[in-house]
Amino acid sequence: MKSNALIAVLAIALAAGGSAYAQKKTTAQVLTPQDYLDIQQLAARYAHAMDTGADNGNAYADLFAADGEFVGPAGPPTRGHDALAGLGRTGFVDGHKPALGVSHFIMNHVIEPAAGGATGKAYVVLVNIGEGGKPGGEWSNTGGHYEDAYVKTAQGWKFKRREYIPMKSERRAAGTAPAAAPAALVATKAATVAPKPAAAPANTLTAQDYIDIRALANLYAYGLDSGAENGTGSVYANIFTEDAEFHGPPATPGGAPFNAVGREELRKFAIPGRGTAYVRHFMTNHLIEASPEGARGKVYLLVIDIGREDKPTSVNMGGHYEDVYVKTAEGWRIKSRNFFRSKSAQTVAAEAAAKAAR
Amino acid sequence: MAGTRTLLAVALGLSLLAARGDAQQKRAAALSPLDIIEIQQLAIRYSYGLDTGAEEGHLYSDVFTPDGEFVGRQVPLTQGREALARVARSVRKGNSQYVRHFIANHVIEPSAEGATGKVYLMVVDVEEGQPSSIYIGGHYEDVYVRTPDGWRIKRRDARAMGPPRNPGQ
Repeated sequence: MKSNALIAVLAIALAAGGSAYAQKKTTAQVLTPQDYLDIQQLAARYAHAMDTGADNGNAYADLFAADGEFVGPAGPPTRGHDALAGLGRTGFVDGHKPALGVSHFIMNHVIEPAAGGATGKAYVVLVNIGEGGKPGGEWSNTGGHYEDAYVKTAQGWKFKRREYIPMKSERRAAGTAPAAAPAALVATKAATVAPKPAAAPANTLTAQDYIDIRALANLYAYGLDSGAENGTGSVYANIFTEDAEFHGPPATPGGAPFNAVGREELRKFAIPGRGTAYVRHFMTNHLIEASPEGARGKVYLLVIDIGREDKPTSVNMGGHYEDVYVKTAEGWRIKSRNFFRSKSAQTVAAEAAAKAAR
Repeated sequence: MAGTRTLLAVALGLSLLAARGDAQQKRAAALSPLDIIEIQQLAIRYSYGLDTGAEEGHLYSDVFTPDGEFVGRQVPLTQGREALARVARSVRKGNSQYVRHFIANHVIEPSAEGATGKVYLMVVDVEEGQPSSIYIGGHYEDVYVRTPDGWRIKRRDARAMGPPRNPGQ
């Protein structure tokens, strides 16, 4: 539970500053593993209910508390069961339900205990799939994040409030944005994952361990994209152990690889960030396994540039992280993270052949 | 007379017991936090198994029960671990660095059989130097059962998918 408390410190500070945390700390309730999972399920149901309009919109309305509300980027909040059911029936960016009942892809869900229940954040991107009978899918220009308040009712966890905040990139202060890896962080070490120690047996992970490790990976995205807290990168840095390593390929072909050792070097990756409404690192498929060090994990990444009117949404890159997690006195932390770009077997073979020919 | 009453009482008791047994069988057992997490991990392992083709396709096939089945829009019913492993082995681009099956919004419900679930999928083709595209998307509908080896997919139905961008890829 210590790790929960620390993540709570980080995320609440991210949202409201340290002084607000000091006030919340004394009143936030403890969330059990069941609470976390129920809230995750609530958020997952949100997408299904909104995209299908099931039960005449009531499936959507039932996700909210009796006095719950949805707050959009414009117009008054939608409050009360009937109004929310109406939104569930009709609400969508252009007034129709997706052809296949699938559009809201919600990722990076972070949940924190709070006074009276819990708060959360989750990234969302809307995808047009099979619209007009067209094959495949297209990215919409709608994406951003939700900021939620949850409350436990007699019928289980419900949304007390969900606010959708469209993606927005704040202008970086001149001279503060590292476009690529800062020179001080560049080394020659390639992304390789340390082999698992053979001798020590793997630990057993509890439900709370899984939840805490998953929260780390999700908080990584918020810390990196927003630069929290206040552009210092401290939220991002504190997800790692003091001696953690990060390795990844160059951001652009021929560029310098990303290598950093220690929190101070890692922190620079998240400086200054682009503000609390900036979303770019969408992560999912977080596979976690017990290991002799603590745990190991893999997680898929899509770096999505949410479009604007004059520029369609595009994927900057995709791939996966391979992580080692350890349980410290502060809670679970990332001990090492290696990023691998997505490559087909044909590309891997071609690269190996080119390397052999050199 | 007493003998008849005793017989009736025994018969009634047995039928009540049988009815209660049926009801218990049909009632969905509650899922523990670890059950939910293991089922979530199962669905995630599916993506890794299919995208990497690891362990000769068995990382993928082992997320299913031995008689597990995959029902798809574009493909015939695939049943049994050997047939499922062949599917994972046949992914031409698959390797340890390939990511394609992105899942989200996994809803899990207890059921009489174990659990059922729905999960969104988008298959994204993304590789450096090439334009990315969404090959296919939709959602899976799943049946999960608890086996001596842990939770497994008994049936995954992928019929709620749109047409793929380049059929035959």
